[in-house]
Amino acid sequence: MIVAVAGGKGGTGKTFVSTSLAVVKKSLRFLDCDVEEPDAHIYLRPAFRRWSNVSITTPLVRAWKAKDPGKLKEAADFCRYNALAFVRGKLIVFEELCTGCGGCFKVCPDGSLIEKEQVVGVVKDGAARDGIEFVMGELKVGKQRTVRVIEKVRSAAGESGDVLIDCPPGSGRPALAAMRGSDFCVLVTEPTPFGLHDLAENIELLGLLGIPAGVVLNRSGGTYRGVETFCRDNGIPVLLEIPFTLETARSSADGKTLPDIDPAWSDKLAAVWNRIN
Amino acid sequence: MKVIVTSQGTDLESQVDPRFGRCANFIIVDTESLEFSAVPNAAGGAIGGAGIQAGQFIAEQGIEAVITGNVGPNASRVLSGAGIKIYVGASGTVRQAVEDFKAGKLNAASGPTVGGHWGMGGKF
Ligand code: SF4
Repeated sequence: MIVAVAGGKGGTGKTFVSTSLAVVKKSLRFLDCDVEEPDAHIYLRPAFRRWSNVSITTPLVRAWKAKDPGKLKEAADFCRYNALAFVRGKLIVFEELCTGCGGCFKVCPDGSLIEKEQVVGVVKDGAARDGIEFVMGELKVGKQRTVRVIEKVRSAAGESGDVLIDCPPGSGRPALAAMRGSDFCVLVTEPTPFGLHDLAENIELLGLLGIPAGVVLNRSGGTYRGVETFCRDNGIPVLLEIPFTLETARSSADGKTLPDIDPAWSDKLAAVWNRIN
Repeated sequence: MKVIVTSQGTDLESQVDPRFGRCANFIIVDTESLEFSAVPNAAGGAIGGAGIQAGQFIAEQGIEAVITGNVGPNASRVLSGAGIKIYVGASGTVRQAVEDFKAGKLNAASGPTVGGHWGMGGKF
């Protein structure tokens, strides 16, 4: 079973919830797909065994090999990501825009473009606490191929066993790449109008993907009831409420999960797993 | 001398568009006769690399300089590769910008004046 944990814009406590769920379930595979700002390792403290680069194939121009310079212009016109520019008879490559689609190599098969490996991120894996197999992706600073790195992390999900995925915030392409193919999605949100706005967007995306969802309300206890009303009206279960206390906030900042703060949370989190199943 | 001014509208009285890659129109102007023609910027809605696409278009127009508000790193690379000078800091109407250019009041940019994605309104 693959369970995704997602949330709106950063700071909703998504990783606090996902790692808390993980330490209660134990012996699962945890994939940190929040590759722009991975932080689950702070809670789960893995010992990494392996590092693998994530790379894409980017063209390197060897203009003198071009039998027909017109082909180089054709390649520039072909690249819909505008990673190639043809000016004054010269082809310029903008590496950071290249997605590695490989199209330009097909347009210029004469050896004028050679394949260069461009490293865009890294995937690390190892053993974490409570028998958790931990995999995380990290986008290299200055690179933009977020989805590519997420897909690489996702490919470590394996064929069987329980998998928990920490998704990137929001409901854009990175979030989509991380949650696609999961059996259930836990949406972490705060009881504020902003939280509701992001939640509604996520629910819409999950509806399109056909993935059932439940909500965890983090920092509850205020007077705003908009999120609860929305969940009731749309038939979305509220799986857990985590009231706001200074102690929780402080301990979470120290990398403690809910059961670390108070063992009583273990039963409540186990109940969440039961409802997901 | 023929130059291109990035513009929000289609004539000499329109406002200069301070964005390069995502400007609305290009106005090709003869700085002596003030004869002009307007071309919509096909790159305005590009997913990415708008400055590169616009830069390539400009490189094909046989002009000597571009007058705009700001220019990003990618566009700057394409335009300098094409040997086209970039004058930044233009504002007001297109006519005014051409006058300022002729009077030597605009700065020639030797590199980008803004970071990438500036013309997207801070959304990315
Ligand atoms: S591999 Fe694809 S994205 Fe990269 S330069 Fe070639 S056509 Fe463009």
